[in-house]
Amino acid sequence: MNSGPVRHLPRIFEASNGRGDWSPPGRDIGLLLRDTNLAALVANAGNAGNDTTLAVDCDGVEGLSDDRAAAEFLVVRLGFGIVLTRHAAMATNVASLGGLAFLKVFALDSEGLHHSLEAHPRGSNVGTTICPGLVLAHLEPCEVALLPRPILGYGLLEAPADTAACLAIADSVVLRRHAIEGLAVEHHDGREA
Amino acid sequence: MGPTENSSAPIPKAPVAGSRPVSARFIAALGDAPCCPAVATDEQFDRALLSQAKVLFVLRANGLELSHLVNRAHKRGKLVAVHLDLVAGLRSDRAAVGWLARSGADAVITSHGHLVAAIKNQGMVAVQRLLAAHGSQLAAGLASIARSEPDVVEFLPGVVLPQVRHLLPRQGPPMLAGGFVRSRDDVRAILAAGALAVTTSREDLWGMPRE
Repeated sequence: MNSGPVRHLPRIFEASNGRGDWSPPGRDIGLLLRDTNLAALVANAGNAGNDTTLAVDCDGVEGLSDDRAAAEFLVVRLGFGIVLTRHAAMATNVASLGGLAFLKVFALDSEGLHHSLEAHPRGSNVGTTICPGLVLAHLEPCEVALLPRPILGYGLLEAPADTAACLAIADSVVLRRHAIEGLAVEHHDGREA
Repeated sequence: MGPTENSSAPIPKAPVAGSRPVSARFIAALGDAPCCPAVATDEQFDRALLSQAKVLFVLRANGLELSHLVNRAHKRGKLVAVHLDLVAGLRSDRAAVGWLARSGADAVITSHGHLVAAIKNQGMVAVQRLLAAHGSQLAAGLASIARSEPDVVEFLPGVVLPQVRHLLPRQGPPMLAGGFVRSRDDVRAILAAGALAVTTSREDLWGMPRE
């Protein structure tokens, strides 16, 4: 089981539903569980090695609420050090328990971005998940400056160039396995060229 | 956004069957002037009336006092699309759709696919929002659109459309793109990616011609 407090924020998280075996496809890659259920969550928390940074998108866990009890279960009982949520109160609860919370901010248009940010608790240990991560490179610097760090880019990141552009601004990104592999291939090809 | 000419707009009358603009007229107007104002204030609405745009998208307004705004736009030869989910005073349900029809709206924008049929039945153009915050939301939105069959789809955030166009079906309703559209280059790239038109709050882009 992972220990609760965050020791390290990987540059990349692999998104997974946690229903299959998982091994890190590279160094500095954590595991983000999403679109899963409580049983898979518990199994993954128990199976993860101490070197794996585990995160959970708690909005996508069937059966899990977004209240204080849920925060305690994730952070204290299961040892998830990083929790993504769209609920400001949940983010505050996670942070108060020693976890690193990422409040999801939906960046679909400029008005929605500002509206979404109004709810951000802006406390210590509450960062920002920008959804979709693909849009981050399109934001103006003044908009990026409004996002409490750390920033996690999450959603629609497929092409290596898009991921690189996002990582130039974000502290970390969430990718699916094929996007991580594409990134590795591009890096390898780049070194050979 | 509130009334600017009359503080108490009259209760809108029921629409006359067949008097509503058809979807083809709306789509043609978008094609003619593909950079459409997305307005959220009275002042923006006034300036949008003076632009070359042929369709105005009202995001923020008092949904219960819309008829005078719609009338002003119609007198200028412009069509009005109202965002049901964002305007004040209205719930996103069938009764509110009926109210917007009585207010003279030409089109209704919503994220709720189950309202598309009601919008069409009221003689208005149904614009369904396709929100792309992440892959699973995009997939769910596409499935909803396949079921509801809106006249037009609005993709958000529009600025990333060129990067995700390959994730969208080749066939489907005409597509708008809105969200973080800020430059002529953005507009060109989005239109080149296949969008019929864009919506933007950037006033310098309103009415920009297709190049």
